Amino acid sequence: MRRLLRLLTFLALVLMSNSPAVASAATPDDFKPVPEATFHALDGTPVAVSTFQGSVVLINFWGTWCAPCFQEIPELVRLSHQFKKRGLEVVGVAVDSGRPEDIREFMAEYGMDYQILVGDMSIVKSRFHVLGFPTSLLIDRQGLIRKRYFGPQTEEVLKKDVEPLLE
Amino acid sequence: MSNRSWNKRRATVEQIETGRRRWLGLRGWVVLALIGGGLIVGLWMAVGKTFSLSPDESVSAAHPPSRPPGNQLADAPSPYLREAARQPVHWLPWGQEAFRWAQEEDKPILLDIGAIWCHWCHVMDVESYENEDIAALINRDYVAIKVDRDERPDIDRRYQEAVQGLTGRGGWPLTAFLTPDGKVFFGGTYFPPDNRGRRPGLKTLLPTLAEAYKTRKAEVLASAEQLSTALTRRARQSVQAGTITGELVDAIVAQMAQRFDVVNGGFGTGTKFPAASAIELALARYFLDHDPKLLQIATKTLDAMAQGGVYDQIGGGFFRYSTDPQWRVPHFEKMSYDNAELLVNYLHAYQATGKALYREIAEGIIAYVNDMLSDQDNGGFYAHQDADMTREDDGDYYTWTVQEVRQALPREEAEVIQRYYDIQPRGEMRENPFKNVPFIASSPEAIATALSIPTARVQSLIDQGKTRLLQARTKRKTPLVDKTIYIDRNGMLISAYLEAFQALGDEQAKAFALKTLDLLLRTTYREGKGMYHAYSEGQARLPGLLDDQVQMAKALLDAFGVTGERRYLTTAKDLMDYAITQLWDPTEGGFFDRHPQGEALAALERPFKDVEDNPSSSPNGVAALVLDRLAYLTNDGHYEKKALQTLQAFAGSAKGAGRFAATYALAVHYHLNRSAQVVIIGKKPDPQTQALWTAAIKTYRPGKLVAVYDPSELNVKDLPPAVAGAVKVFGVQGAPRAYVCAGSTCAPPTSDLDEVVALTKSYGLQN
Repeated sequence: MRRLLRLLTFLALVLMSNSPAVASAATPDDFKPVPEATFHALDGTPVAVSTFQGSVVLINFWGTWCAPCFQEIPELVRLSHQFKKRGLEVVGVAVDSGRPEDIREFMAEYGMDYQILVGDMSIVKSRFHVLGFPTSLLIDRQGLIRKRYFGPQTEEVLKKDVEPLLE
Repeated sequence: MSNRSWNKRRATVEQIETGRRRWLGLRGWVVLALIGGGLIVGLWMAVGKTFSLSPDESVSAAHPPSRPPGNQLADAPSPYLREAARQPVHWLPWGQEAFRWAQEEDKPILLDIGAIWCHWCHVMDVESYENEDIAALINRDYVAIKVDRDERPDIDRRYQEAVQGLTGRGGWPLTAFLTPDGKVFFGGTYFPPDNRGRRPGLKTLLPTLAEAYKTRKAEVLASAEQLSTALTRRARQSVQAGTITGELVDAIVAQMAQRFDVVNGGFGTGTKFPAASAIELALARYFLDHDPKLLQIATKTLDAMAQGGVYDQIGGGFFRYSTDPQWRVPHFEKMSYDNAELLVNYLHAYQATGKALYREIAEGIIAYVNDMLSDQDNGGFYAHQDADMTREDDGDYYTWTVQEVRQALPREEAEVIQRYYDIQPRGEMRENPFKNVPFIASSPEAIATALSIPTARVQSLIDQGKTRLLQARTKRKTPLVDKTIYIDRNGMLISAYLEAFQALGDEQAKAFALKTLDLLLRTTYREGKGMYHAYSEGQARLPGLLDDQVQMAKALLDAFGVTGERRYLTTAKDLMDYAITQLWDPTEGGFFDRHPQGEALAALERPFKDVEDNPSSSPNGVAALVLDRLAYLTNDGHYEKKALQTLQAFAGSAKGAGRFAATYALAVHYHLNRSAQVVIIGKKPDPQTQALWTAAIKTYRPGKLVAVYDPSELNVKDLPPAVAGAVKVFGVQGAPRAYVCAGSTCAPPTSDLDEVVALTKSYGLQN
């Protein structure tokens, strides 16, 4: 079933690919399935990436030591507020960011009410090919990576990519 | 072999180099110049005879009883002014008093602006201001004011602008005739005592202009007023705002490349000034886009200067400028600011290319500055070294006749040295045509072939010969060093010495830079009130200018980078806060060169805001560079905003300024392409921290920023959030790590030395 869905989506997009908007959005990750990986919630519970299957997911790799990430966080908070009810799951994966209480303190300060997980640097690097922070991946309901963002983004930019996937 | 005709072309002025647009668009001034010229020529021809130069008449000039009699410069702190204390001219120092006397006595002012390193200032002093007849004319009809341009660059630049507006030329000595309220009605640079060709002599000018002031006062006042109005208008119009883009930087770089002299290096085809900021811009852009043309601009220029007579081949350090396009015959004064900026050029070029010559020249500059231009015991860099000893001497200390070389060296050594440095029976100098400026004219290989001896032998003869020539030269009377410690130049040299530590591992340079910095913080800095402009004989003096604040702030940030001591960062912040609150132009943006509510005397009333490198890095450009770095280190977006506003304020005017806007372009470049920012978190004594720190410091990346934070010394509440985050991670992880960011992203933190080097060097670069 999942395979069939992927195939259909793929065909649909091949048909649409004459549209320059779609073509320009292409990144090397396009339509690759999101890698399988398990991160941890702040209380230590393991959370597999596949848990989010069925939602549109924006995974944001960040760190409490990364100034450009801070710049982006308020944008992500706004994006999450705007689209959560329509099925957008913003997931922040904090990498190398100290104790859970430090991360919680940080979340409170920035009003981060989307889901925060803790990730291991080696996994983030090897499986998600993240070489710089912040990096975000936009994943559709089928679990396919639709876009990779390098560096801080604005709500406006993200919204344009997120909205069509929610429909 | 060498061109022997330079001496004839030597101008009778210490030249000043200015940007291309400075004198355009002032059509009104041409009229003024004609009025001025007509006034002079007409009066000179008509009434010249009436003004006999009889000493009796001159001596009979009465002084008002209340004005202090005689020359008032004996107690001046400036060595240049003190030197003029023995002149019979009744010089007054710049100040309210002098202008009050001029108004009270209703006399025009003769303003002379010069410097102790300025050859033609000395010539004019000896020829004219030591001449009793001329002094009598001045004392009778004028209030005479003498200004040291190094002490008062703010006064100098305003009057240079006025005289250039009238005549199209500036330089030193600057000789300006002012109305009693300080407005220029006639001026020029060097004037001979007697009429010489088409150049009127002072003996003619002084009475003619005094007479004009008496009999055609309305006209004189009106033309002075007109010029002053034009200058004020120009001051407003010359600063044009715009948006900052990569294309703006590209345009400035392209203009600079267009003026590049592909044959000789440097820019233009005549007199050559170093243009250090243009070289910095070329190196920084080259690092980003690898355009070989940009590297060539830098290396060709630095090679040619290193081999030219503009570099003191025997004693190290650079002279101020070359009178010829081949960099061979310089004006011999050595300025601390040129040597600071050129030192940075050679260090960066060495890091970029690994070429040994650049390292050698950098070390030569440091050795010279250590030896001559610094107070090694107490800290502090001196202002400059004079070019010569007397009026007849145009660089005797630095030049050689064949006979002098033969006397100083054994025969074979002399033979090699003569070929190497092109020492010939007829040299390049004017006063003594047998004197030669040493420049590298041949390679050791060529000399080896010509003399049929091994190259290694030639090289060792050159090395020995150089040492022996230096010893022989030391026996000559050494040109004077002005030991005034100017704060802006000290900031530049502190930064340059800290660069030497980064590029060459020169610990001694680092120690001396920090010693100087600490001295100046103790003596010339007041919290909330900025830096003074100068320090001499144990006294801080002269109100600080924008240049002093920003160059010291830059030095402080550099010191913070290599020491991790937060007090340096805090003080840098305080200086920039002072600049923002006191020197900022609230209507148009950008910084004024001096406190707009400070001394409002004569031309100083005219606000001045500029972005050209003239002669050294423009303070507004440096301000933007410093503000951007400060924004990162403090995480205070306010500084970044001010940097952006500064850059925007000048974007329109910088567009066509070419290499004169190089520092500005560099600031725009770094604002748009953030260089690597390396933050190291770890206990300072930990060898692993030290290793990471050293790796980051020594890796070449133009514009990089390195900061070390020791969690045991810090309260996380005082830190920028990202650093605080990293410090907390350290609490868990316990091992020192480096956090490298560039542009708007950060690399994964690392403790691996090779990775730190690789990230510092290239993280965030496209290619």
